[in-house]
Amino acid sequence: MTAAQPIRAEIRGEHRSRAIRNGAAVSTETTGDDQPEIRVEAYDKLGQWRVKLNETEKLKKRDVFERAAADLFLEAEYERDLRAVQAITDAIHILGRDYTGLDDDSIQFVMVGVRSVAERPTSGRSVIDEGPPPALSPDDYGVEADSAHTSDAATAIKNLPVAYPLQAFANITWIPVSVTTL
Amino acid sequence: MKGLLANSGLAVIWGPPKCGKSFWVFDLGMHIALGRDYRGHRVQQATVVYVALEGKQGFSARKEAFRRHHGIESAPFYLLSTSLDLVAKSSELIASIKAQLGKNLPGVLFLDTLNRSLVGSESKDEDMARFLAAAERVAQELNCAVVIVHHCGIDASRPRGHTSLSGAVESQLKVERGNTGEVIVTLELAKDFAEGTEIVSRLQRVELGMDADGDPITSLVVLPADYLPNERAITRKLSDRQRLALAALDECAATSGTRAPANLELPGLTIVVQVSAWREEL
Repeated sequence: MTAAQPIRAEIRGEHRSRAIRNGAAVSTETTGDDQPEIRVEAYDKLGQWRVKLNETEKLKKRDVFERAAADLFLEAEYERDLRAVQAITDAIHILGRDYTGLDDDSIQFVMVGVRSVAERPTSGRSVIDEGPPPALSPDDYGVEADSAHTSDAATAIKNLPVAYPLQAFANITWIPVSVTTL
Repeated sequence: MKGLLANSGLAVIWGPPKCGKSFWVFDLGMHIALGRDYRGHRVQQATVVYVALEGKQGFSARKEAFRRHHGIESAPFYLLSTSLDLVAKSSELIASIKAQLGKNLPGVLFLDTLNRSLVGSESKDEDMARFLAAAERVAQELNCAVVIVHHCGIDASRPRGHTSLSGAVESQLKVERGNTGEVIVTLELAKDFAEGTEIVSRLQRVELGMDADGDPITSLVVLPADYLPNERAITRKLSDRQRLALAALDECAATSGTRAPANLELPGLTIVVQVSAWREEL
């Protein structure tokens, strides 16, 4: 395997344009003749997450997808080429659609939320080996916990991906470290 | 917060690492969000945005401890834990907050810490000027107070970095740890309030659960301390001359000390000596 691996054809094409249309993806000028290349580590992880999602029971797929998206966005941070970042973003979208069975809105929600909170694990272990993350709903990335806030604000967060998502007090969930890392 | 923080402009809360700064600032923010008076200071209720760029891992435990201790399930308090370069991204930050909070814009935005939100040097006047301009822009656009949490440097008597920080803020609060673990907050500088106000708190451990080894997982809540600031223990060491003088006083009290006369109204077993006798002993 070379240092950079051409990404599979399915990552390019229609999926990219969909991600861009929904505002979550970085813009790119990639064409069909100009194949983006991603780092081999990202490519391998992508494959691992596909397998993982295939093996996951239906009710837990969304949780695993969120973890996959977080992990892959971290990989994307190491890419220097915007086209590679775009390719990984598109691949995450495909994971959500084809391997998780989510609709486009839900995928966008997960991607926007996870992208903003993704942090590199300090333990050095792969997050693929970890259990699913805590159950999250679209509200967890938004502001709707407090009834004092208007529905306009809730609508805004659903329609516009924001660079700095706020976590409402009620949604700041505490999970013991020992449980999350088991 | 009357007497401590203005409801607009910039403020800085600074102190050495591990002095309980972030616990205290979170407690302060929660009181503002809940509209609860704070140690005798009247609070104007407001939405709070807390930008936690340092110690993110402990924040959820801190919140959980507060929730359990105070029985609070909901408050207009919002956490932002995304990495932030304030100078470069202030416009995006403002837009994001406006988009998400709509009409309920924050009354105060905590920036924890300056170091984590500044790409550049705290000591360079250009970098600090850009940072302060960005923070002021956030305060103006959101019509709120921006409270910057900051560390002290090698010189523990002032906030780290360029002095323009102190000049730009409406108020400056110092956080330090007392001898018995209390968190002492002093209003050092204020444009509109009386300086020197002290708030003394203690940190109380709250058990949140058990880890896989059966050990307790804990966090801390900030509570008022029963403490008189003017009785704070003296920590400064005595000089050699002072130690000699004290030893002479002890010796003098042991050899020629007498019970205190009643007219001095001292506690019954107090021993007194004549100043002249002490001088002789010296």
